[in-house]
Amino acid sequence: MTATTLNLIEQVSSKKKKLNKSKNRKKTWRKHIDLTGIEAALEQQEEDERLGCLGEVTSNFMYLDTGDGAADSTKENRPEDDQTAKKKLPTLRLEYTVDPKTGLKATDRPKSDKLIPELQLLAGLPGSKGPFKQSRFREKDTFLHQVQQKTRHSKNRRTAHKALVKAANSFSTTKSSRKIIKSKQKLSFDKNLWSEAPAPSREDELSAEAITHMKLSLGQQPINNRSSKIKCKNIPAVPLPHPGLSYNPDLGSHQKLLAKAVKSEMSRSKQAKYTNDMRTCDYPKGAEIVDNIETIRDMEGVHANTPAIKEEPMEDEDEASVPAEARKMDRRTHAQRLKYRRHHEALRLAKHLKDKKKRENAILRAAEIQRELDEEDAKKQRVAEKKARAQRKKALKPPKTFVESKDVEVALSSELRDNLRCVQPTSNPVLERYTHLYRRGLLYSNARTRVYQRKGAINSMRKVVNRPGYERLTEKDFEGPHDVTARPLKRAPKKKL
Amino acid sequence: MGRPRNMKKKGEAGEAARFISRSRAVRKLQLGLQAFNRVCIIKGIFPIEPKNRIKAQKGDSKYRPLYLKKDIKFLMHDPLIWTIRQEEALRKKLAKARHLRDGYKEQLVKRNKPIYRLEQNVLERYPTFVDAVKDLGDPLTMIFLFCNIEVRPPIYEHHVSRCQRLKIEFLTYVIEASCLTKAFITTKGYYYEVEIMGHNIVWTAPHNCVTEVPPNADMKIMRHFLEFYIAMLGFVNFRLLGKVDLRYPLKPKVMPRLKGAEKKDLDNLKNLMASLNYPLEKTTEESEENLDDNETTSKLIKGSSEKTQKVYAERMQAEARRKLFSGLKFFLNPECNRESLTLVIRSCGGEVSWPSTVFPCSTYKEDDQCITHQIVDRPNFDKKYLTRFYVQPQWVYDCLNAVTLKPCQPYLPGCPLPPHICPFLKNFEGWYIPPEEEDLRKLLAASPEEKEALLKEMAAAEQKKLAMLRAVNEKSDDESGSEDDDDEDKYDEDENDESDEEKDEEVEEDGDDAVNEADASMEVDDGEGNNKEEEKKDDGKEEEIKDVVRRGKERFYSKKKDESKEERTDTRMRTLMIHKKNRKLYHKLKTKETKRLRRSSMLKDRREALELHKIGKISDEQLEGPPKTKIKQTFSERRAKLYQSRVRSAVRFARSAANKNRFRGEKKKPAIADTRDE
Repeated sequence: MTATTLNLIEQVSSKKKKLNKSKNRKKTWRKHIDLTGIEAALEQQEEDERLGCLGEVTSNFMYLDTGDGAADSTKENRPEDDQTAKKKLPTLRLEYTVDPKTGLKATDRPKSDKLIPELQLLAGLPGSKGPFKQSRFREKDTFLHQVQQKTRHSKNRRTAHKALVKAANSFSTTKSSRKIIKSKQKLSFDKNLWSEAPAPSREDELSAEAITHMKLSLGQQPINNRSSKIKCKNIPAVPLPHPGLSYNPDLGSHQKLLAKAVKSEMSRSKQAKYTNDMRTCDYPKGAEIVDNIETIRDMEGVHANTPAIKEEPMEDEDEASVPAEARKMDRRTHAQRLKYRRHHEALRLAKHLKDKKKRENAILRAAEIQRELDEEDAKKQRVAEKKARAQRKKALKPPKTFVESKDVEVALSSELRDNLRCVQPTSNPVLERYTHLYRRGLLYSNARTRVYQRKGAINSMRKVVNRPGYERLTEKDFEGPHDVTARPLKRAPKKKL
Repeated sequence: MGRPRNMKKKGEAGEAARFISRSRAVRKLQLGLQAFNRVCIIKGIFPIEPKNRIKAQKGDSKYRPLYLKKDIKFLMHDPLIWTIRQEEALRKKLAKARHLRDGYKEQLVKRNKPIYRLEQNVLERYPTFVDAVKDLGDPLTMIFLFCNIEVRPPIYEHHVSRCQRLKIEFLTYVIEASCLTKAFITTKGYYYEVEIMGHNIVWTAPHNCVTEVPPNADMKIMRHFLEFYIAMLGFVNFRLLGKVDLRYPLKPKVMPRLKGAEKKDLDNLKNLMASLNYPLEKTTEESEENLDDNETTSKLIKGSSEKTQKVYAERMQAEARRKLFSGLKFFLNPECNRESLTLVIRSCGGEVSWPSTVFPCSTYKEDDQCITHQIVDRPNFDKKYLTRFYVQPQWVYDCLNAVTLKPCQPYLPGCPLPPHICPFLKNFEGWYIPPEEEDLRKLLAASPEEKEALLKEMAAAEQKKLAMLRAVNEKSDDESGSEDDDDEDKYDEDENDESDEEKDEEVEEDGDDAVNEADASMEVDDGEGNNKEEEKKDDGKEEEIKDVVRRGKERFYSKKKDESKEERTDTRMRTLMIHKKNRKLYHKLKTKETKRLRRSSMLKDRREALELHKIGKISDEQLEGPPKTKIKQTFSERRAKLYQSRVRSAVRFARSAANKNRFRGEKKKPAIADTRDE
């Protein structure tokens, strides 16, 4: 037999083997089954149920849990290599043997769902009860416990905390249990936060005597570590009170504080008056009067009051226009003169007509602009009214941004009481705290509160922007004749600030 | 043709790249404005004023709150943001469920609200305990403020109850450590100062009434601040109470026997702690040590130099403050502020009690014979017991501030009280110091042996004053009977007084500068005792002048004048040495100083005049000056005045920045304005 034939035979035989494999898997399953052990266990169980007695007791199987020694006994049985066994499994107790399916009773330790190894075989069979299931709350507790144990080993505290919170949120528990956990989480301050401080500050280390010694010897205070991240502002957290603020002040300091208050009030009222004046009119007080009036006044006067221009005799005009010497030199015929006169006359007429039209156009344009301005004024007034209405409404509502209160608050001498019992607070402490936070730049930066004052001028905080709402007319507009209706008014482009 | 390679694009470097506007930051963090505020407050990131606002805002001149870009990047990776985002998502779900009236879903959503703790943030902001202690002023004021605030959303009941708990914890620490140094009652509220680990912490507490929530303040922001401060103070309290060996959370040492409904009510238990007068459970047993320390130090100090004495004076004073009320028993009447007074008295080693109807934990009754002081705040009070002093509450605070037991006579109920002086003393140059404050300063500087003598002196001076007043009153009664006889004598007295005053003025005129005048006026005189001293001084000066008179020319020569001259030349030279830029500022400061000095001297003069008026040495006219009469102006004067005012306003306007901006580029004015006028 050649090698090829042998190979063929092998192939065929292998194929045959595969083909011969039974399709019914049950058969194979039954082939290798051995139910003797299970049957024996079942019988034993039945016996137990019937008779109510324990099975065989061995020294390894049962022991009494006596606190600390319990863990040692489990250590002996535990295989070393198995990693799964490293997890803290529940210790086997007497209760398990008495009532093996109820895993838990009055013990505080976390319990697992695992059954006794002898009874593990029963799991999944018809008729046998499933493993003990814990309540939701307990489940969560065990989970939390496990997570907490993990966190102890983990280096990063933040991640551990995150995991804890995540685990807590992943469960949906009953309301009461949830409440308990919440209260534990938020309101438990019984923890020394600064216990693991990296480096204790110098003052902690030094005793009082050492500090005094340093003061004596060096004449300086020991320098503190500036480790805080945030730079503190110059304004203190709680400003020290003025002596005049006392409920029973001495005369001098009270007078001083009063004077201070009056001064600040006066300056504020002065400023308010100035800003109000600014708001009421479009142009500030003392604005220069426009000089370019005369041109338009003349034109209007011509149009309205004075009659049409008297037509003077042409000769005079002609004579006036032509100098005497030229007249002597230029001796023309009558026909020539006539022609010349007619030509001039035509020119003059054309010019006159042109002027007339120009004037009319200008006046028309002025009237147009006037109308537009009136409209704009009316519009402005409407807007102003609307604004005022809105402001009136706004005053009732709490504003979005902060409104600064008075700087100095003093009780007048008539308001001061003899008894401490009758003292009434002058200001609202909440508002005061809020304003203080504002002043320290914790809400907004302090830019708005600054007011620069120059000599002889009060600069208001309001910004005055010169933004004309209409087109400015120049001399060019009055030059050429043009149709008012054809050319629309140009608006000045908005300036960027 | 582009820009050169070395040049950077606009807005990529410098101020513009450092800052980010708030709206941008909010968008970047994917949060709402309120949530952003909350994160910033918890993490301690606040807007910063740039050096050049327009550059930082990339050419925009409108005001915008700016944050550092670095800070916002730091915020982006914070785990707190995730919880806040989750909360926002849950809020939306909750709103939806409420709208659909799905109760079950609402409950579910509420249950899943994320929990977060702020301990990590507290640690970040205050890496050491001392840092946290230094910054205690803010949280304390906030928490004391929210203890009796009106409950209205967004402030809820649990906020108030938490604040009350923290407040009680801190006050018990202050009592146990007896570290209260100052207390001051103002019209705004109470100011306290405490010394913890060598740091002085000041905080305020409002008066005993419910504070209303103002419409101007944004309470949501205040709530965020409060949230952080609650967490911070909680951890600080734990550490502080641990230092005094007290159990945390606080627990009464012996549980009282309560019956039925009383047992169930938790307030009964809370009130034990809130009374600040009930013994509490301790972690370790008390050990009586370091009792003799003070004695040994005092012995050591006696033999040591002045320098060491100065250094140890503070420590000695603190020790004296601790034992100020030791051995004294106080009884508070119901109208007094129980909490504040128990804090002050118990931190100074005293014992307190009150009527049992006012608050629980009253240790003894009113008829106890051992009571030394009863604090009363009503003018008409029937005194029953002769064995005790009846005092107004101000006495307790004044004693604490002066670190001495002050005489009780001026503080008796119904008496006009002496002024309550601010213990936060200011040491500016030229600051007006009223005589009462001067007394306080003297008392604080003196040693315990000197204090007694000082108190005696003060009492004697006051008695003299009273005697003078009485005499004046009697005189005035007599005058009504026989006016003519005594008139001449009185005039004589007045003349004498005037001559004395003139002398004083002459002395003051020696120094031409206002500064010197003020220096002279700074020598405060109390009543008559000090006047005598002044007279003595004056005599001494005259003697000096006589000695130095030279032959030849008649010329008075005094040392003081010479010194002042030298000083003036010195200052002039110094000002010349200053740089031109700074000289202006220097002059400004100098003028301010002189103004202040003038003001203080004026106040002092006024005060003296008033006191003299009380005794009767000065008449009303002299005090107030002659009655003012209105001067009639002529028409031309009035017109000139009006004209001047108009000119002034025009000039002011022309100078103002607004006007400059307005007519910058325009030479000719619009022609339309005149048509409008017509």
